[in-house]
Amino acid sequence: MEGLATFRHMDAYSKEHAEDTARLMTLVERETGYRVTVGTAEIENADAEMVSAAPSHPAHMIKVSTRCLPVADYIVASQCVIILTLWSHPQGVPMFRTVPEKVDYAVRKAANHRGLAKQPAGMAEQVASSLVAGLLHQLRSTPVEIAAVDYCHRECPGLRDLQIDAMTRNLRRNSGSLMPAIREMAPPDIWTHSQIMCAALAKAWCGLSGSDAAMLPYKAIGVETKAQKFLNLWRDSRGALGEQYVQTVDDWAVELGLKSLYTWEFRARQ
Amino acid sequence: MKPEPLDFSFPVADFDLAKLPIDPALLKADKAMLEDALSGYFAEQFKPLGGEASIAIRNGAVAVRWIPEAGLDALVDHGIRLLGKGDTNLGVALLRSALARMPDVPCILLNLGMALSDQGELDEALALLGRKTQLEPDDAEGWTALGVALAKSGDPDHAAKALTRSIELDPENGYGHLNLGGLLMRSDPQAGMRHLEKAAKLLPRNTAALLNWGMALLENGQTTEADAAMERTIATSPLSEHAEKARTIRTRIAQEAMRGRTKGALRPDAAMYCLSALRLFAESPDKLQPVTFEITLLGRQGLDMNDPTPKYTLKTLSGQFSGLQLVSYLYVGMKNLAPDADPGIDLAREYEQAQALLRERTG
Repeated sequence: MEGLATFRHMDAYSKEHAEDTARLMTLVERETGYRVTVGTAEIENADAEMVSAAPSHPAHMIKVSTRCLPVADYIVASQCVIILTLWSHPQGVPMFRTVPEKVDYAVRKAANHRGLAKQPAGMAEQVASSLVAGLLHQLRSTPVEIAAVDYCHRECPGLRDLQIDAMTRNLRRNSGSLMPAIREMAPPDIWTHSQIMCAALAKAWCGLSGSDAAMLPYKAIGVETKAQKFLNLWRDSRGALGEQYVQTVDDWAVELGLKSLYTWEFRARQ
Repeated sequence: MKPEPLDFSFPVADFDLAKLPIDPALLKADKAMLEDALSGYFAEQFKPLGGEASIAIRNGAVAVRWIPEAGLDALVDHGIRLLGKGDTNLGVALLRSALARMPDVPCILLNLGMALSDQGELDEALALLGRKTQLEPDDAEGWTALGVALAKSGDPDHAAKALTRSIELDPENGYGHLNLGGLLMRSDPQAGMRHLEKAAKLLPRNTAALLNWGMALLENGQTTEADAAMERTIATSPLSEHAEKARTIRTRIAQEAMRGRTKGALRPDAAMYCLSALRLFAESPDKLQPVTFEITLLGRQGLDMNDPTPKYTLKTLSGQFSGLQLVSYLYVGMKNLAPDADPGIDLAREYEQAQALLRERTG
């Protein structure tokens, strides 16, 4: 048997979550023409994985990490907002495509940093490659993550407690990269750029939650002003959510000197 | 007259740093940041209570002095709300303070008692819940909570009496039936099943009730009914841990039923389906990913492997398919796309047979 249960009010509590999430799943289906299917998976370094629908896989698939089941309703809702954002671009679904030769150059440059040069042969390039890939992933994912955090906070009051838990977990994971061992190893520009984007997300959340705790480590390393500037670039962007997203990624990329490392392609909505 | 302040002390060493949005290792390495973060956290927790809260950190503890605007109702409500959210430590601390001022308020006794019971502090839980049932002997909820605490403390006989009393007082008390059913499944399975069935009816959105009913049916050999209860568990809350457990059990039920038909021997029909999948994916590699993906999605709702009727259709492949056929296609697809992933069903022998047949036929 599955143990003894006592809390009567827990049923009503979980029902509220499910209603907000179900509403967003329905909205995605209405707006994109594809339903959302939700599953779970063993995912270590993220809360979820999402594959947006295309004719070859006719459904949006969201896989929630089994570590995040207690906040799964919020995770699914925020992934739905990400889908809605991406699919709202008038030119089609934006696809972030890296430019291999430019990325290779950035990797080689990073691998020459003295912190990485201490690594065994071959390892420096491998680590540099994952650092550059991670930075580009942050660049394309943080603005849309901020969009989802804003939207869920505004439109899904029933998910508020789960959002607090999920964001606490997310920001705590991000702040792990502030550890001295990582700072010493990573090239300073990559490390600082990464922290600015982490801080922009933390700043966005502090503004919504009314608590400044998430910004404490970023204040200590002096990236608060830059993070505020990045957040303003998002807030000042205009157009449909998808356009705001693309514009913000581009604005951030200019600030970080990453603009030449990627291009946008737009997949037709069908 | 200004209300009297309440003082709380929370040892820093006992604080769960996972409640803060900062890596615990960073906090441990930076005392000032830790203190700032803790002060902010407790300020936020006391904000909804109104009144005035002052927070200081001294001698390894967070000291909170709270002056209520009026009465302690807000403290009690917030404490209960925190328990509902799973923030047990702080919820318990608030309710303990309230209890010190108001020792015989039934809702404090009940909620604090239940929380302590969940935390394993059973002596204190039993004392509070015992008091609650003395004060309100006709309230079924108190008897349910007491029964649960007694069961946890290893006293099944008194637990059964308390739970029985709870459903005598309120025959529609789903939690009473759920817990009594769970308790009786070992000593009197038939009685246990009656209570679990009733709980599943009274609590149709409670996944614990549905899952326990399904497991009881399974123990009783009622596989088809158990599978239906598992399906309801998944449909009710697809992302809950109970739903995950129900999915695992459903897969096991389907696998056992499939193997049961041939007394554990190889299923030639599944081998033939694997063979046609191998051929399909060899001839049209572009089908591999979309077909596998679509069957994975369909499989989340459950595929009936034991009904040979071709009742499923796919957008990515024309025709109609039986459940076993789709599961075989899925198995072959997964073996091609992610050989190390668990396909959720064991068709290894059928797959091997299909590969051997393919080699034979293609020379």
